[in-house]
Amino acid sequence: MINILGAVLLTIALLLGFLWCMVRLQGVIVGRNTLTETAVERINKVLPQTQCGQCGFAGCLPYAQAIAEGENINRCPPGGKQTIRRLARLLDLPEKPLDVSHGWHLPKRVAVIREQECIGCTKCIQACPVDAIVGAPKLMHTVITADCTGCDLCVDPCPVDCIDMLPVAVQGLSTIRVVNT
Amino acid sequence: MSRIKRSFFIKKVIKPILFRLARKPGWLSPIHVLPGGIVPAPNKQVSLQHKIVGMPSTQLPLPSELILPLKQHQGDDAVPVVRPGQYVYKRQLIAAANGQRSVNLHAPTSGFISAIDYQLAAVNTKPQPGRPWQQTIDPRQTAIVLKTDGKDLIDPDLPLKPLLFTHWQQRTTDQLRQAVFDAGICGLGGAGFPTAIKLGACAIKTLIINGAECEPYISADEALMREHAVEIIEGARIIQTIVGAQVCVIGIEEDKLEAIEAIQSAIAGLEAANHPVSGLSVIKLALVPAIYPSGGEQQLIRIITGIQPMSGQRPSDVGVLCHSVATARAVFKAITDGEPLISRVTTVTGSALRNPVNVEVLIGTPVSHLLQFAGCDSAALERLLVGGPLMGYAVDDLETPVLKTSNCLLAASQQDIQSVDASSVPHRDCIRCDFCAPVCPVKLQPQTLYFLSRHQRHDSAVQNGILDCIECGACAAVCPSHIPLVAYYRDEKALIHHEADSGESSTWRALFEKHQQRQADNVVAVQQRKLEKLQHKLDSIAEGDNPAKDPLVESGSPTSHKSAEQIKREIEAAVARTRARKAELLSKADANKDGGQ
Repeated sequence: MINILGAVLLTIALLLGFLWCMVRLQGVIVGRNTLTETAVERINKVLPQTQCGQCGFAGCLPYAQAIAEGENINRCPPGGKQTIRRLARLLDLPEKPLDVSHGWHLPKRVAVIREQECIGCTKCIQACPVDAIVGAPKLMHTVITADCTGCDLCVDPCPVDCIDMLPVAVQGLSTIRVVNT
Repeated sequence: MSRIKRSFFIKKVIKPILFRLARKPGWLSPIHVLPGGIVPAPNKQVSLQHKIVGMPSTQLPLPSELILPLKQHQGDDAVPVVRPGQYVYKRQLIAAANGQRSVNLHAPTSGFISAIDYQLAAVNTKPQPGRPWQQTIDPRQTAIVLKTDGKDLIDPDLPLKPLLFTHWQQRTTDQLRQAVFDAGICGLGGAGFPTAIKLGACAIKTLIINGAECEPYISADEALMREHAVEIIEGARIIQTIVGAQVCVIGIEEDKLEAIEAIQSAIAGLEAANHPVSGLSVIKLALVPAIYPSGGEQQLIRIITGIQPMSGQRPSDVGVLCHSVATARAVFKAITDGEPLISRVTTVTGSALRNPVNVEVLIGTPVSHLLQFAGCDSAALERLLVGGPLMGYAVDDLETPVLKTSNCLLAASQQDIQSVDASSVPHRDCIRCDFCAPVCPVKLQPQTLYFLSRHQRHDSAVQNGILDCIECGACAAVCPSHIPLVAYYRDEKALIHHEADSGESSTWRALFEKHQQRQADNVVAVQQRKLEKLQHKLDSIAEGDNPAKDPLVESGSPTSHKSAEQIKREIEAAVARTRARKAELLSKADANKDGGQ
């Protein structure tokens, strides 16, 4: 009698243990969203998304693709040391110093258009990778400061040089105010 | 159903038995068990051999410069209210709180403001609990630099607050709270949360004064309790009055015998003096076990009250408030003496120093000044830590100032680093020994969290409770592979907060994706239009229609029907029209300018 009872209880115990393991494996340890993310997406999330192209690629996503295919992880000046460290941890590679041939790591700046001088040529609008400049042909343009990544790409195309890159005081991250204006 | 029954069973049957078994011989206030924890070598006696050294004294003169960052607390930066070159007196307000969630800053001594500028030193590189990404994004701090004149003058015209507050019992709680706010007090235990906000919490039943200083080497609070017990007790009573707590418990570790004696005699003295405050009972004393991290806010609350705030809850949500003894003393000084928070007791210790001491140091004193005073052997100095060996952060720049939250300067030599933390040794792989799980005071699985952080699996890390990690470092201390686990957790937390709350980079990513999508759409649309036109042309040729009907040719048709002379005349007319319009516009603009001037 006791033998049968013991056997039944043991079976139940094993079954419960097995189910618990399944629950843990599926729900907790593995997680949900990370399973569907590709390596490129996860690398892209670590990059700072300034889309500045200083690494020599057309944006952060192309660089992420290149990293996934074996490109050096130290080509991102806006990300600096921190991004390199995170990439190194994510990819299990040794950390390297920043390759300064692509640029130096500088504190974040935003573009500000001197609006009296703007002639409305729309060239900066076309250059902006994140559509952070508003304006129309022959009308004054302006920068949406909250959306500006500080990538410098609008400075060169401007025919009258009316775009300044100014430092910002980061206060939290949602509210950005420009200093020295 | 089964879960409810199980929890009921545990709550009503098992826990009382366990508590009865595990109750230590506590004094006056019973204590509860804390899961996990480690017992590191305390190393506290070295800095307790002398009494606290005051700052402007013959032993320890004023430094020539004080560096006062505008943000030494959690919340918004303070706003400077002085100009470079201005003379300021001791205790004068130099930066005002920017709203309620901010803290005032006062001049610690008299002198001239020499600069207000960015300071590139990593002043506050430790990620703050709750807002860790701020420091990781912008380590630059604006600081006010004060050139001291050595006179240590208080403004002769300053209204005498001490007269106002000698009988603080007669003031309303709002007045007292305002006085605490004006004095610029934030939590001195390490997190730096503005004290006035904490004091505004309602429905507080228990006030806990935290005298459990569990981290090795730090002895600032212990020294304070030995020498200024009366001020601490009085400060605790002021806080108790402000929040209206029925019970006030002072938690001290059971091995700090001198501090316990001092606090007990202070309580006895208070009872003898018997200031009657209606509805308030006396202050109790609770002895907590001397394990690390029993001095953490959440941990001490759990030990003393048995209440564990749920994940994401503040202690005030469960009717408990916790302040450190240093904060209690600062409140006492602010209320009775009118002295704002301009100095704090800091332990200067480590085996690279000849005379480790506790000093009452002015806020903003450069670290190098204190190291020089304590006899620093710069050859032996391996690393300088602000805070204890387990939760502190390393600084490279010796001009880093002492902040309101810096409770310890640990000038660690090679010997200290080997004895307390091994993050300088390159770590080996995790061997899954599971030593870390039983020492975790929050009952997390450090090993799992390590793998999840290392591979940046944010969702799983959050599910496994990484946000509840208090970064105590107990797991890293017992790790046989010397993995700097807390560094991994801090980094992972910073990433999670950065993704979840800021959304800056994700906004940029979304904008860039939209931009690219639009450009791709444009290219397709242009191709489509060209194809359509070509198709149209081909169709019309195939039908053998009159080419004049073709829209493509029709657009060019005016030229084909006109003579060369006609075209020339039309162009000239157009140019003349444009010139006339331009001249008109110019004259208008001139007229406007004149009018404007």
